[in-house]
Amino acid sequence: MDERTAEAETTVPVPSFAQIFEQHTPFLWRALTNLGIPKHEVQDLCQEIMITVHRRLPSFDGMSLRGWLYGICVRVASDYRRSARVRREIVSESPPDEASSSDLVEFIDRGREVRLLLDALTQLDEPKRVAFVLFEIEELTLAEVSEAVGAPLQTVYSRIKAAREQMQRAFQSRTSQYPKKGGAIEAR
Amino acid sequence: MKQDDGAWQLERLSAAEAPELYRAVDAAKQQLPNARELAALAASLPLQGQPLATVDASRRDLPALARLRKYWLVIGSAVFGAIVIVLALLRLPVATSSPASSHVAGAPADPRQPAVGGSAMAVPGSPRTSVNRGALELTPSMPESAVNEASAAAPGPSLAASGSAPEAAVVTSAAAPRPVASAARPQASLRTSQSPAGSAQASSLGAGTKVQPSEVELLRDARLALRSSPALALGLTEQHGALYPRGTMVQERELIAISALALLGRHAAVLSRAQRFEHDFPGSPYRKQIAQIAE
Repeated sequence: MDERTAEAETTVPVPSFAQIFEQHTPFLWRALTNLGIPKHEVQDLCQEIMITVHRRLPSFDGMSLRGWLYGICVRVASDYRRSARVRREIVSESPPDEASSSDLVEFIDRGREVRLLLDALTQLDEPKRVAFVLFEIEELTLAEVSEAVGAPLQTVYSRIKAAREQMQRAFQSRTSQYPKKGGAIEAR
Repeated sequence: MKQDDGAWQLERLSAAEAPELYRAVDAAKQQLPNARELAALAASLPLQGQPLATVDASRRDLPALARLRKYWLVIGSAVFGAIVIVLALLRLPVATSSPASSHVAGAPADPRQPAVGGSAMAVPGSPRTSVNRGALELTPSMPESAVNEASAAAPGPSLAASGSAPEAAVVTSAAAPRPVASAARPQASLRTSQSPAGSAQASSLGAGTKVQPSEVELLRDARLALRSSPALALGLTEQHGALYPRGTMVQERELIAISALALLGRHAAVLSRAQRFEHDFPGSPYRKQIAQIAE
């Protein structure tokens, strides 16, 4: 509370919470999905992010909003993964060859490419996955990613590079696991 | 750092570089939450500076409470007078209550007696003094249960007895005699009186419009009202319930209604309604959220 009042005096205009919610929530939601949060938990974690945003907004320095927001997003996701792993192993996506009927629905819902991408992303270690998701999917700048993950630019740079290579390899090998059957999905 | 920015440039993945991966990344970019998911999220958030339903619903009642305080003396004395009369009529054996009743019923002011119990709000010369005295005379003479019983029985007769009392007196009467002693009570009595008023307002609002509002409109308005006026939101959900008992957005309605109840501090209603929801929609995507509110 003390820091809140002290920091509230910063004069940099900061968007209101409602504006942030409107403009950024859908993307934070998407990022959570791509960071490996199970679909049924995404809303809860998104709520957690927004509550944190609401609480910390007065102390935001007004420099890089996206870097700041995604930083919170990454922390919430990583906390979740850590705690979930301790509680029980429910984080990782089930392997594609054991797809149950609900997975099948999800599979169709998200589209073949997305499913492939998520599978490939699970093969990355967490820092690389975060860097890849923020840079390639969320289209943050290098500087924003650097702020979000709290790592120097060159580290982020090499993580993205490495993640990309690994993704390409994994992606090519996984593509063969989903034989191209119906034209309906492929048509996209 | 800024110098480094130039040195560490990185192009985003291109279609030429890795077509399959590029397509997948592109598909992933389309995976945004739908309006329904966002609405559910918004309903659970402190938009526009409103506090969260689950965090501190109690604070929101404070300004309204201050307003009610003005009428408190009148309501309190009227209700109490009625109760004492009823007591006197029903329970003649209680010796001390009848003088009290004549006092109060007769009742304008009795400046001789200072406020008993040291309540800061009590103004000498106002009806409040007599209420306090009434309480003092009453309580030692009869057991707690008797007071409860009497006050519970009061609403009906009190209506007849105190014609001049505002409507709210009827609603608050069950809780009214006790607040004399405890400061926490007014909130409870306020809440019970507030929400029926809100819903009445809402339904009359709805009744005034000629065109029947659609499900979506009703619930959208309810959701928007949730932040500024939970009572109105609750009223709108009730209206939705009346117009569309088997609508397609029953779950959304329940979510909003339960959020509104939580904001109004009606915890018992929240619990029972959440349980009913759990029973009616075991597979609902809102189940978890509602369980959270219920906690």
